[in-house]
Amino acid sequence: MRLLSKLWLLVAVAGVGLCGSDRRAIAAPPPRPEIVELQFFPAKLELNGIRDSRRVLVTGKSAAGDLIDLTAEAKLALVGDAAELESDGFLVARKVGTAKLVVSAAGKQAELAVDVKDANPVPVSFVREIQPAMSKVGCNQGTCHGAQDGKNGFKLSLRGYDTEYDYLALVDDLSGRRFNRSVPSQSLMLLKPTQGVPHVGGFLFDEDSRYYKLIHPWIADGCQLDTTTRVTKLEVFPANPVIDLEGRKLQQTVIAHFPDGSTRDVTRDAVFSSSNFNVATVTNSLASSGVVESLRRGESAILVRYEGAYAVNQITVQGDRSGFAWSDSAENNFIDTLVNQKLKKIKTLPSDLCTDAEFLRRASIDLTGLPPTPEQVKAFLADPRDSKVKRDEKIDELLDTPEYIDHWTLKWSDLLLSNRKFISEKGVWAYRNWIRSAIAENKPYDGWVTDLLTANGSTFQNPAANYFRISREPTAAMENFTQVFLGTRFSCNKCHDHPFERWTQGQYYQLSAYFSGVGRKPGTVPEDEVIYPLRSPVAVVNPRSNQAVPAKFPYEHGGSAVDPNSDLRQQLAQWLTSKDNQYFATSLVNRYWSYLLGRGIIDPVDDIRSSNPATNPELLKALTDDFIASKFDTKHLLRTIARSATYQRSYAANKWNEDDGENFSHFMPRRLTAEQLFDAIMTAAGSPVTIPGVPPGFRATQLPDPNIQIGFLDMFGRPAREIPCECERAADVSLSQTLNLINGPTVSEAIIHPQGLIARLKQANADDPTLVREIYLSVLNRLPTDEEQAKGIVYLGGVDRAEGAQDLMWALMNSPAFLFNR
Amino acid sequence: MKSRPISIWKSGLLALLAGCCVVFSTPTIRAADEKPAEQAPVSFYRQVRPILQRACTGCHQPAKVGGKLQLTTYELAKAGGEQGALWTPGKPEESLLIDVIGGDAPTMPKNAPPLNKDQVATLSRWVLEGAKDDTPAEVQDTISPENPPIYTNPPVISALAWSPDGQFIAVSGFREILLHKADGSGLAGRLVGRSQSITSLSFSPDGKLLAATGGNASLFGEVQFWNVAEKKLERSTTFSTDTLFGGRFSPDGTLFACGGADNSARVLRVADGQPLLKFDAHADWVLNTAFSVDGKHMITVSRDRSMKLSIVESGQFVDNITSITPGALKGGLQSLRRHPAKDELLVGGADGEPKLYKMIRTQARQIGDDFNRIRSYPVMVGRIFSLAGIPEWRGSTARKMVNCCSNFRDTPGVCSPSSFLPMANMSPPGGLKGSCGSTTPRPVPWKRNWSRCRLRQRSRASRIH
Repeated sequence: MRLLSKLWLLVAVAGVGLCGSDRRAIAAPPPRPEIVELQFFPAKLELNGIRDSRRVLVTGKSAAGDLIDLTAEAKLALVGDAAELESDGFLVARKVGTAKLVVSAAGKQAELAVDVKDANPVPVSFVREIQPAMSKVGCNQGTCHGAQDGKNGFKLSLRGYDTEYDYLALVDDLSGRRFNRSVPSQSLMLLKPTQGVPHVGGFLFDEDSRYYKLIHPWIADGCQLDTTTRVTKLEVFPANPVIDLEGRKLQQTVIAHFPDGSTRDVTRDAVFSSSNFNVATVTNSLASSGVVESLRRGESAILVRYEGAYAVNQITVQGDRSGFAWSDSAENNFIDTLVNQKLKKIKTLPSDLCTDAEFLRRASIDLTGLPPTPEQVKAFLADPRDSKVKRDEKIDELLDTPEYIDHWTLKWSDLLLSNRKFISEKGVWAYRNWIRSAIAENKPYDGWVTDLLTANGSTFQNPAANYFRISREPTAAMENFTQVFLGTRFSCNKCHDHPFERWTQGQYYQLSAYFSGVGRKPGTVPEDEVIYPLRSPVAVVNPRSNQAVPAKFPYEHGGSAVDPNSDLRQQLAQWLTSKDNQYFATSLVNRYWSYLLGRGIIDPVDDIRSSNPATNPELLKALTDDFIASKFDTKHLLRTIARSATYQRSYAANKWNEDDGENFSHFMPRRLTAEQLFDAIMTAAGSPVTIPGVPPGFRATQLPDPNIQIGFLDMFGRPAREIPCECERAADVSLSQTLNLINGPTVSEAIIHPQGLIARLKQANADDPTLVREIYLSVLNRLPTDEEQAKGIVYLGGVDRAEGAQDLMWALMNSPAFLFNR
Repeated sequence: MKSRPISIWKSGLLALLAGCCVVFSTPTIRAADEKPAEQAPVSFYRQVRPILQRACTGCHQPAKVGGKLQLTTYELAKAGGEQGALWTPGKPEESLLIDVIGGDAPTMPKNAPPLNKDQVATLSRWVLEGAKDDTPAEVQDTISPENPPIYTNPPVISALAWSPDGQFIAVSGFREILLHKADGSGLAGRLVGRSQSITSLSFSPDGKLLAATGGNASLFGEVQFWNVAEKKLERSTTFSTDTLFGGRFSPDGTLFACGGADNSARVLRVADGQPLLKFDAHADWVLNTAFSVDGKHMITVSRDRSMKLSIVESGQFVDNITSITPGALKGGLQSLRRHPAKDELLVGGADGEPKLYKMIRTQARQIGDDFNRIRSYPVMVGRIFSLAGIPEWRGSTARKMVNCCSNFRDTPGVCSPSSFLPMANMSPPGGLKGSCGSTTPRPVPWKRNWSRCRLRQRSRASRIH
């Protein structure tokens, strides 16, 4: 095969072309509309203590009703001496009484009442003032002194989760090296951040800063550790704002709530970050804290962190959408209603539905892992009935195929880490068969997960018990458990409290304790192991306290109470699979959604946390409710999703949704997985599958575990089944993959196989039009266009026909239409 | 295709083209962001002073005044020394400071590597910009031997030593060592030096010299040798860029060992303060040292959780006395005492568990062994800051005689700052009389605080066992 002509062919028939990316330049600040009214948040400033500083957010309302943040430009004047106005706009209590704040902005003027309720001097608090300062300037971040080994001999707990540890590090370590009560200004903890002595972390604040003026008296007063309770909740204002255009700035205010009912404006001390800094940035310095700047149309979650509490503010930047008009399209079920609701809000127009051929290929691959055969394509296209009717019927049909069982067995074998390294070869087949039967019988999800978690006995006789043969330590079992069944990652809080979540180190060990009653002993036959409940569970010890930890759930839900005297795993299964457990059903629904739509509503699907919000919470909730109402019927869930117009949209974008990547306004193409691609090549080439070590005809999808060596599968990202993370399966596109597809034996041997499609067509003396048509049907699962047909015929006329047909099939297999599910 | 394809395919396609046609696209290289043309003026306090502190003030300081010049403050530097003014504002080329540190063969710092180009440039530019002082008012240093520190709050006592004759107790202060009469009748002297913090104190075996290790955190480390009779600084030697720790005289009094924040231990000749040996086998700060009974071996403990044995004469590493198995010791080691008559070593540190080790291995090393450990003592809550034995300390009765100080926490989860006990020592002649340093949260007159602490130690000591 001549390389150059083949390349020409590749470009001609596969329709590849570079798509340009037009990076829009960041817009200049847009003109401000005429302001008709000033609005304040809060409506009245109440100061409840000497350290209860507050600032007002000033918002201008335009004639059209748009709200524009004017906090930065507003001129403030204080009338009265009850409080003092700081240069950054914060008011500090001076004495009990009232005052008045005169605000002028955008040519308007308005007044705000100030009420000082308490102004008694109080000592500086380590918990409320010193630790937040250290978090804000970054002392305790993971790259500095919060690192595993600290920095330059000084270690703090990561992001300040451990107050006592940090206090001891500052006060007690190295005989009081870091403070100097006699001459506070000579304290290392002041000399370092002010760069009074060399500091690799650089200059952080000066002697006139607010933080210096808090730390200095704290040292002078004897470095006291107070027992103030920590913050319980954060609120961010304005909540979930929609910003009209690029280039706008928006000051946020963060209010912290404490257990005693008091609140504080902690905007200056909170730590801000933006989940998508292409859409919106947020300031996080001492000079400016919490100001969002809109850069581009899109959505970004602003993560706000303050002393172990987290909040998320969802920012939507509308951008210039002049000319946009919503048009209703058919809604197949509640999914479409909720997706379209969101799309309407962000002025995004969904793509049209895909063609029948596209649908058939898409649904076949997603539900059964295999592309359709030419016969199935022909039959589906020839079916004259209404498209929706035949699509719905096709979905039901696909859900009842044996390939469906294979495909979903593979998914769950991945998640449950079925691997002969852990459970022997015999065990892998047994475990696979157990999973297969659960899928084949469509057992309710809550039911088979309960069977799994409470399994006992010989792993050969009751393969579900392999779950505990694979996860052997209570902590490892717990980490796998949370990531798979709750979609959350507890591994972070093994060593420290979770940096982005409420999970604590204590909860890590408390939850692990549910796995502490698992006994393991050799079985009666070689290589077998028996799982049994221990009479007295082994202690799970929290290394921080060096004490055994009792089993306790990390959160309570409204479900029925568990019997504390029952087996620990029974309790855990009951708690987990309750319909009131907010993570169990949701994480499954979200995971399955991502399998079909290419992206979770929360993504990554196994990293659910408050700082990783759902792009469409209403949709996730409705899907979860529907799944629970169906009694955890996963087939029902797949059917519901596949039937939606949202699932059936074209991958081609329009002018109003081309920048959407997370709201499901068009289908998102994704590369076939390793096993899908391998099987698709064999199916398309019509070549029989022969994999060494398994019976002839056994497809890649049907393999029991990754220890059957096939280089092609590993190259295309087959997971090793060592960690229960979706990320273990690589979905990337690499140069070696491309070269393998062009030159590798997998594709070429399938194409030239003597029993393959081309050999058969040659034997049947098929003419050129038939050859082209059959190859298109088999590889791309659609008929060629007239132009493609003509080009193909021209090409076959110029070369040896059999070789030309092979070239054509090879070129199509290298095209995105084949390599991607789209 | 009518509609725009989605860009997910792009990367694969690029790889494809690059792979078969060898089409390389040259990435556009963006120039680095230009620095703003105008540089901020050089700050004396933040940029010049740290250079002086690291390179010059070892000699040009109140306790030594080399060349009749002091460089510890702006005013003193401006006043100049025996060669006159150090600089002419705006004219670095006419300034003595730039002359002695710049050029091909700089004369300063004496007996030390020259300053690097950036440091010289910083100083030159500062002179060019007018040699201005921007030291914040509240950090101005006014302390000198004539003007000793005034305490408004008690400092942490981080070091304490009895003189061999039992006449004096040396106690660390801020910028000074307080020499107390042991009978409690008052101060015998205030030894004001350069180091803000004093991390260890030890008398030479003959009692004539008092050695202190210390320094200013993140600036320099210092060893001070004081003439006890004359209350005079005999010698000061600076090393490193951070404080030194754990100083100890050799049994014959000719050598002095100390650890440092540069992960090194050093051995100095007492006669002239010259460094003889730098021991670099530790991976973290070296916090304490000891000599073997015959003075031929040095023992060092570090925050790297190991206790190492080396030969004094050659500096050769001999052995890890403690186990090198990860996790065998849970925290860094901070305290070290050798038995008065035997090569047995008492260590303690962050894990709060005092342990007794033999110095010389008698059993072949195995991975994960802890063969040298003779015994462990009951775990104390918090870190062990210091350990002390009494002269009659004997192997078999060691447990009774060991005295430890650690941080006490009254209840789990709450640390009470009133209970720091950073330093302990035992009086040599008096047997069981102990003393220890302390901090208290409230301002208490200095002397009263110290004596209270001594009283309290007696009860603490009884609580330990």
